[in-house]
Amino acid sequence: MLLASGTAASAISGKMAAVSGSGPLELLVVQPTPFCNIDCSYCYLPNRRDTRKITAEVLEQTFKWTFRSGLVREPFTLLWHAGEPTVLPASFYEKATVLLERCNDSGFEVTQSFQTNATLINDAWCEFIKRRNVHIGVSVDGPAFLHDLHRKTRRGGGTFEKTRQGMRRLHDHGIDFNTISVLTADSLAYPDELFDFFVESGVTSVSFNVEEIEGPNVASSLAESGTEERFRRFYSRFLDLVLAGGQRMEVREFNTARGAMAHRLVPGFRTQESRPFAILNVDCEGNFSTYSPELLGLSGPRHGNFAFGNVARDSLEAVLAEPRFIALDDEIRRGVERCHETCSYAPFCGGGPPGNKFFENGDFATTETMSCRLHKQVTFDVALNKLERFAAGEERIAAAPEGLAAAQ
Amino acid sequence: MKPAFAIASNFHVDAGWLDRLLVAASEGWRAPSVDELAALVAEPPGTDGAALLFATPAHMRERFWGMLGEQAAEGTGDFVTFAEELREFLAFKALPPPAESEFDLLVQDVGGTVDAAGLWALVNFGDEPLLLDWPGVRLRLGPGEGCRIDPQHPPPGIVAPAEEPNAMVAIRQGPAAEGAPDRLQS
Repeated sequence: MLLASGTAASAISGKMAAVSGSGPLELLVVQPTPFCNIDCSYCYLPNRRDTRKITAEVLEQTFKWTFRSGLVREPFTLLWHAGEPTVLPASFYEKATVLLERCNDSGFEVTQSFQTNATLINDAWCEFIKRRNVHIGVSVDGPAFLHDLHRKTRRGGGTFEKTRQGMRRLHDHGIDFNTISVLTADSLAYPDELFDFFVESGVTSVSFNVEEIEGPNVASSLAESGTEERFRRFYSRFLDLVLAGGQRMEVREFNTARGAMAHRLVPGFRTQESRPFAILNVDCEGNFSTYSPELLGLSGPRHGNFAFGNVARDSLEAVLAEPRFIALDDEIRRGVERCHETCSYAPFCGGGPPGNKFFENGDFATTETMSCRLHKQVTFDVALNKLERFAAGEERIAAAPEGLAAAQ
Repeated sequence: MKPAFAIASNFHVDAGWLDRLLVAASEGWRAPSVDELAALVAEPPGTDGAALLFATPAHMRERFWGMLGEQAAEGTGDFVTFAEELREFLAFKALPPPAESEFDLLVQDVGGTVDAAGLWALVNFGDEPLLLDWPGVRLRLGPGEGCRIDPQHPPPGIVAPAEEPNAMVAIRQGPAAEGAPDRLQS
């Protein structure tokens, strides 16, 4: 009995040692289907016409692999994404939730999250969302004249009206959600119109992504010269409207910058996206990857396929020991080190996302990207400017940004 | 003489020109024909001298009415600050008012007129449409919409057709024209 216990303890400690350089798991991204019911012009997903669906067997293997991997050492988020998750009915996720609970022997809480275009949200979905207390992020690019420029049906029509109906249904059921808006060059003249849209839609938590060069989206409208200044003016004016008070609205990019500056909430030397298996990305066939979620399903000329294994047959230890993985991790680590050596923003951002470096520069061991310049550097600069203005007592910021006292 | 009409760059307005432009008919006004519309509307880049249509954001219209409410209740409506915000908004949109321009708050009584002297732009903050008349052509400015006036072709007539008084902001180049009705503060 003692021997058996000792053996088990040795096995666990051996596994922990093997994975000690990876994780802990913070985000599990599961692709229930590659299919998306709409066809956004800037989408990075390569197979969004593919109607395959994850099977119950693969899902169970995914959950079992995750909880047996040694990566689960704290609560984490399960994000259903990389295809439109609501293409599958809410009843599928009800069963998945039961399965997740059955497989979760870690003792840590798992928060479920969906990133959705909201066009298929119905009452059954709302009941599931409330019953299971899952988090919803809605992808919406602003009012119709902006949203419909890029978020289109396969026939080229706009999707705004259906997205708005989904958002209204969520509101009608008392469900809070955040939004992610992709900013393109078209958006940058319209901060007031975006602000109005969020206020009118009752959105209180806003995130901005930039149109990135990733996967099949090989060009970005934001890559033109002069965009940084336009982006700065857009973001500054949008924040002025938010900070002027009168509306409760959280802006993810401002909160991140404020947290770093006011509370030193910095990501450490390697971020979630650059630390091996802090993010685990699993496609509908059980193939898995890590680092930036955009890498799954794609490949590079030097690196081959970014899927490193399959939950049905490959252990984490085997993947971590694979030369191909070790070489990639080393390349990413060198990129992070170079960020810290050369970029004054690195202590706050922790180094640029590997996916952006690869897709923009062709090499993970590089540093700055367009995404860095806009989404990190400009947003930090603008946030710092706002906080300094507030500290100087300028009257345009009516509402004290939360946490500012700690910064002063 | 009538101007060309265009949507100002960096602005979005919801309805099309057929809902906004009318041409004189033997009795009253009518919608323009396709050919007439093509002759009236200018396309970029030839819009510098055009009458430029623009729209103000909802939050600014809300601020406007809040300011009027404060003025009515407590006499504290701060039009100077509001005018500065409107100036900043237009400057952001690359439609900056002239450096020496003055902003007038106008409340137009039913049947009242607006002095077009020195008018650079007119913004309709009321709930009713505002009609700008040139010889043979009429522009309908919806609530929250404005028009940067072509200085070569100022509108001889500005009409509030509703039965309710209308509220607007006139932006004038240089000192405000004398006799501008009901200036609150500028």
